[in-house]
Amino acid sequence: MKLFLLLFFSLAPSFLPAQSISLKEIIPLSNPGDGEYYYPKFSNDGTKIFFTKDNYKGIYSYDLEKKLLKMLNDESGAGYEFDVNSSGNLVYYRSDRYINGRKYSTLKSLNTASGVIQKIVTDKRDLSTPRYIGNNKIVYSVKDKITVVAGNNALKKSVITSADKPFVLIEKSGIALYTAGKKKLLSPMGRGNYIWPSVSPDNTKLLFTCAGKGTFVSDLNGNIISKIGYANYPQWSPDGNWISYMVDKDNGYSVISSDVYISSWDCKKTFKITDTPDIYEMYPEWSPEGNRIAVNTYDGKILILVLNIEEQGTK
Amino acid sequence: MKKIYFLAACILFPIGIIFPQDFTGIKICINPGHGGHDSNDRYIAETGFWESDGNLAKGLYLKKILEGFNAEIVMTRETNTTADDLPLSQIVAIANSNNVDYFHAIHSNAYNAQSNYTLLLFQGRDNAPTYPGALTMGNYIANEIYTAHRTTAKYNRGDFDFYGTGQPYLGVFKGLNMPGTLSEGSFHDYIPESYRLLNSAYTKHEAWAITKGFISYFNLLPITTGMIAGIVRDPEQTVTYYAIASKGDNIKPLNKVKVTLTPGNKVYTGDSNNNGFFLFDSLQPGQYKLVYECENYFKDSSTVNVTANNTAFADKYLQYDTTIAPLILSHYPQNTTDSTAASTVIKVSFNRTMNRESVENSFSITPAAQGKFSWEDNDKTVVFTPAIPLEKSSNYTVVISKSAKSKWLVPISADYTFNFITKNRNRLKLLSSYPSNNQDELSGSLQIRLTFDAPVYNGSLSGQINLYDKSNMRLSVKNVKIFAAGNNGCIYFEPLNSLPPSENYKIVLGGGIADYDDIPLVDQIEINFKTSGLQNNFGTIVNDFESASEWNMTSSGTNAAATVFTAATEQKVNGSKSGKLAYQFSGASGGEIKLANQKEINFVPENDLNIGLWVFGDLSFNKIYCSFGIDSSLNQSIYIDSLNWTGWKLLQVKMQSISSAANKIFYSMSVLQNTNGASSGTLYFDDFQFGKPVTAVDEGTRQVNNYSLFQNYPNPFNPSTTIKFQVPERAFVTLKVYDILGREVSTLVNEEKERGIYSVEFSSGALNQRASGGASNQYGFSSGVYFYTLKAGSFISTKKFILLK
Repeated sequence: MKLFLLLFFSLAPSFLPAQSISLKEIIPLSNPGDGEYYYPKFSNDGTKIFFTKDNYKGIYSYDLEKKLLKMLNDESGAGYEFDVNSSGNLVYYRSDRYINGRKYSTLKSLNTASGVIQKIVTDKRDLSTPRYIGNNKIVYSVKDKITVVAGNNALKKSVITSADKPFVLIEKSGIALYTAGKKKLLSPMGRGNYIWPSVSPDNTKLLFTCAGKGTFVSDLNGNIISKIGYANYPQWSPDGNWISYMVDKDNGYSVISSDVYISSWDCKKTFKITDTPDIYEMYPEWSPEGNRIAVNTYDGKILILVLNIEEQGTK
Repeated sequence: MKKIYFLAACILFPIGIIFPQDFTGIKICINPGHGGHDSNDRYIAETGFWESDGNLAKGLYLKKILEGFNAEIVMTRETNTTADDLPLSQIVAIANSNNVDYFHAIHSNAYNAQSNYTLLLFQGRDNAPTYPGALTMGNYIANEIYTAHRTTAKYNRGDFDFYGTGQPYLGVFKGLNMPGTLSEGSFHDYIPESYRLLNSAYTKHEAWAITKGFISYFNLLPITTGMIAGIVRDPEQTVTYYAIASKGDNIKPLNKVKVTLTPGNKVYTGDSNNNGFFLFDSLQPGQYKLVYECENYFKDSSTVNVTANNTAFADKYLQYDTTIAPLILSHYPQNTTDSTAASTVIKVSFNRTMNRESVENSFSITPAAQGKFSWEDNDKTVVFTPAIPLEKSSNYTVVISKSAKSKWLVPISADYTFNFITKNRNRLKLLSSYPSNNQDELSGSLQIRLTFDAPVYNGSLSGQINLYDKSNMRLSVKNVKIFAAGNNGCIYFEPLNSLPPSENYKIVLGGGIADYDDIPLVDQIEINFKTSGLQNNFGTIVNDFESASEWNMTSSGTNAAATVFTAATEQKVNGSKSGKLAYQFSGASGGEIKLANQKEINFVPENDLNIGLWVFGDLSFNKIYCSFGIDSSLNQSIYIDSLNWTGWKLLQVKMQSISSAANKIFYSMSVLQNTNGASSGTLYFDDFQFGKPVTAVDEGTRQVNNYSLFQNYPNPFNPSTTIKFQVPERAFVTLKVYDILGREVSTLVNEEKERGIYSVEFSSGALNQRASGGASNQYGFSSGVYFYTLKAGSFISTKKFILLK
């Protein structure tokens, strides 16, 4: 059975749905309060958007139905690669402080309803951002050594099993892929700076950018399957068929344009979603149902791009 | 137990502890700015410097030094290809995903090729950084680079304020999850610094400076070694590019310098990039001896004390080996065919300070030319300036014989010869002038026009063109225009004040007037001319051209956009304006501009009257006609004059010459194109009038030696009469009218007058009474006896006249 599944996934490019994706409308967040916000992320049920300030100070949630903004915390670095559990009530984040120039990080969980904050580890050097891998498990590394904790409230040491989602971290500028607790260091494009890695929703493919070389999709052994090209901050769609990304250009000082694109993961189809010379849409993130994308503009406005996805039959 | 105490101390007092000089556990991201050799990678053509190369060199040295101190370094690039020119979002992502403690971007600056300061930038306001550590670090690095590179100043600024945006500007800081700075260590478009940045050791020195910044920032102990750096120069030679003298950059650095350091016997060999820089790093504190060597220079040495964590600067001037024969580096003009202006100077540049007398004696030029020597560049360049331009189309040979000697009396090794050919032109020519020499009957307000065979260089004109009266008094001029007309050069100007009538003047053109090749006139030119006799209004003003609304312009064969009639202030006979007709014919012939008077003026049927019109001519040689309706015949055109003058001229036409018919209606005046005339021009019109003509006496030639007030004519009068007076010298004059009770009823003149004879019209009705330039009043007068009084200085004269209504 596993062999069949493997064969199915290895042939997957032929079975991509033939769809056309375009922009239906752009909805700015109404009444988001003063200030600029960046790096939006949908909640798992799609009713809220989390985001942070420039330079990742603090975490904010915005209720899309009630149009209410709530500051969850105002901690330095908290907004960088925070994660949310599957029920959406716990946010895991890293909080940083500097002593004699050295970064000391504390891993915390925050209950979005009660506001209760729990420290998971305190004042660690070289602490990774947290990864929620399902089953109430959170993974983090300290100096590249992985720790797993589990639980809703009282967190206990745990282990990674084959039932847990694979996850990736950056170690020594390369990709550290953890599958069933085993680490595999990957440099699919050779020596370089690897950024924005992620595992596909079906846990079979790896999406990453190698700085200066482009964005690629590989299998979990690092064998390149497709090249997306110049595609920054690439993100899998929830169904794993598509990859959103930004094509940002700068003059060496400042960004001078940015638009959002969506490509099929085999890069046989590409759609330019925004085409706004005066608005620089950046850091796209999919909604859980896959029909919306949240972005921030360069000047700190949060926009929701509503997609028009049309089926065109299957190949 | 000791370990426990130490651990506790560290936990309780983490701030303020001086760590050993070890970066273990510290992660730093280094971003050498830009990447590749593309148009956006900041290339300096004069030196061949790429900022992307310089930034990478500094970055790689910084990586090596910091890794030597056990730091973990993340480089955003380690090569310099187009692919290395990463987008800002990727640079930030590299720093973030590697979870570094600090981010630093390395750049050099550019502005106007004359600045060379150190600039550090961080995100935020100047005093409110996003990360407080970045401001602290910016101060450390700014100070260290400023000290190492000896730049002119240092600044540490927040990008919100530096770029004036009030919000994040530099994309390399936007989204950064740790403190970060960007150093613009120095200015790569400042040529001396650009050459230095080509020196690998110089970039290493900056890497050391940044390292010292990091040591301070991470509160580590200072490095225990020191450095020696310096620049070796030739004090006798200066550079040819812009250089800041206060920094010594104007003194030429030496290439291929060998510096030997003892103890240790380390040798530094300089590059050929015109920087003279050398560096010895990682030296234990102590006293060192440096020996400097360079080909053709005397060996020299210094003793230097090195202290820990500092650079000891040991700049050196090496003295040229004076026993070596001087060399000729260059000459001017170069050997080219027919390309040298005859006005050229001749320059020869040596590599050494020369003995003036020997060089001047060694100089010969054939064909022979007289001239003067001057010296430049600390007596290393001799300049021979011919007294007059060289012969045209001639092959000249210049020889510096081997008797030319250096300051130390060492001769050049052989005769030095070069040739050049002069262009086929060695004098500026005056092609034409208005007035021509000895021309007379010229308007006192004439526009003087000079036409040369080449455009004239403005810088050559100072004091070279002068207008004199008969007493050789230099007269001021106005409205000077210098312009090119095709291949020719033109100079137009006017006397500041209208020239008195019937007097002689001269224009003197100095020999220094030159064209853009510096070809001068050489010989002085005098142009003599004489003004015409006095002209004054003689009749009733029908139209004073204070407004253009009474005139309807039509034209044919013209460029409509360039043919315009308006009332203008720049020229006038009386009042504040005159009618200005700017015109341009579109074809070679047949063009006509007509100004029709909408009132269709019906003249009094007296044949002894004249009509008159002031016209400021444009020397276009086009023609003026007037059109009349005579009895039942319409539009009879009468030729008035050819426009062969500049300045104001009162044109007169006898009514009798038009026709003896009783009814004469003035319709229009026209400018008709002359096929030999100018295709464009500008005319001015003023005071269209009619009345009895001035007698044919040339009043300007009379001897005006005393004040006099003449009896008016006609007298008695109705409605108007003319009053004449004369003044023998410039004086303030008033001419006023009083009634029988002594009450002033009109002021006809109230202004300064030049020597001359003047006539004033006085009208009893609501008409203008004016003298030239005088004020206007409007009154109505009843019949009776009136008096008019002239006052000028101590002169007073009163006469009686009678108005009969």
